[in-house]
Amino acid sequence: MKKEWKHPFWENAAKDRLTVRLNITHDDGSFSTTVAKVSKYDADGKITSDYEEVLQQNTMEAIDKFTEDRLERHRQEREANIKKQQERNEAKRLENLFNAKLATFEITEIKNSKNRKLKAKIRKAKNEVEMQAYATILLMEIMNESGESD
Amino acid sequence: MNQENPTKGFVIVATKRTQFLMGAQNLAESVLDHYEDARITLFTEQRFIDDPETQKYLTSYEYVLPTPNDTNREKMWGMANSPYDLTFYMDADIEIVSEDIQKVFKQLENGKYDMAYVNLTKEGATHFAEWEWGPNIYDDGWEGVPDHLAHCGGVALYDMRNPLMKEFMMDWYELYLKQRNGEWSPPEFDYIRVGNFRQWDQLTLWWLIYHSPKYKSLKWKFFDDNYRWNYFTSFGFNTDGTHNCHIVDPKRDYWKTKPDPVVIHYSSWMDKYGDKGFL
Repeated sequence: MKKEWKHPFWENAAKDRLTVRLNITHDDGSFSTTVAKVSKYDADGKITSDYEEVLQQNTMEAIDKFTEDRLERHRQEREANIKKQQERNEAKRLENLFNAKLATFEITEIKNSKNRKLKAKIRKAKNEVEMQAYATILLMEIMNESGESD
Repeated sequence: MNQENPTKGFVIVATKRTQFLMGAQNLAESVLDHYEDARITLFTEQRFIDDPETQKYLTSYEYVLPTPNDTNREKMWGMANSPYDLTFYMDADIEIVSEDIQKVFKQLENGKYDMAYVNLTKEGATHFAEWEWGPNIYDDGWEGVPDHLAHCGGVALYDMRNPLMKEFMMDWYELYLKQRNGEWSPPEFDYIRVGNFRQWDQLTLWWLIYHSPKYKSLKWKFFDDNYRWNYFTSFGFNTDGTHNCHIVDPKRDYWKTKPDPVVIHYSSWMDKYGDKGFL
């Protein structure tokens, strides 16, 4: 039986526990692979044979590098996921804003208004507060013009 | 048709549902926000033109013209019957956000090209329902017929002064309806290996552009600043106000100087059946 300990990385800062890909080629030629957890010490405080075997096949520097690379990869994945989620949220927010603008233009007085300048401001509003503020200004102008505000 | 001073205008088509009329009106108004003198024609069903309840959505146009049928692909019929020499067609779920819309007709380069489309890139393909069926990809440098839907049908810029152009659009309309009903399946479709591509009108467009002998003489291009003319909302809006053309279109470089879109396409999000609200 041949055991190969591949890509080990430290599980903790104390560097006494490893996660390793263990590939085994059995005597009958069959092959199996698994992810193994390897402790440096056994219950009696002695260094385990698996740990020694890992160190025979991988240098400390290589293990440290695997550990650092893995942490960096995970950090980049986390950042990418956060960015992707932020983009999704922003697209969803704009979708909701788009629908809210269409709803605003369903208000008869706004739809019929000839005030292109304010209607354009409603359409170009960056958020719902801005959109509602311009819609309110436009409605007040319309009410003032029609004398409804008296 | 005027060869020297072509008329220029926009065509929008809205059929089947009132919310498309609402989207179309918003689009027309957003064009006018940025292009005061724009000429815009809406094609819609006669019942919407006649109904007093929907006439309020028909106020932003130079012309409102009836479509012959009520299919969801009357857009190609509308495109074929544009009253303008130079026409920019847009889907109804689009919004214009830049004054550069005034420059759109220049993309045909004074008659050098008959039509211009947005190129659906490999990097943007994850945003489209179905895109490729084989290894020959335009973005990889393939110069023959690509094994994918390279042309987006969401917007189209074309020159009706070439009489072939009207026939091209009418063939797109009629062949697509036959294709959808299983009545037309040219041998080139056999190269398509997987997927439900026969349901898409873009496949008809692909065939007309690359395989129809009748239209070999038509000169077409992709927009130089490609996705600025059809920026899908699913491409993302960054929290700092920037956009992602550089991610979905890395092989072009327009986004280095013109990073912001002219056309926003809400296609990915729009509630096309009206179940979730207005759109």
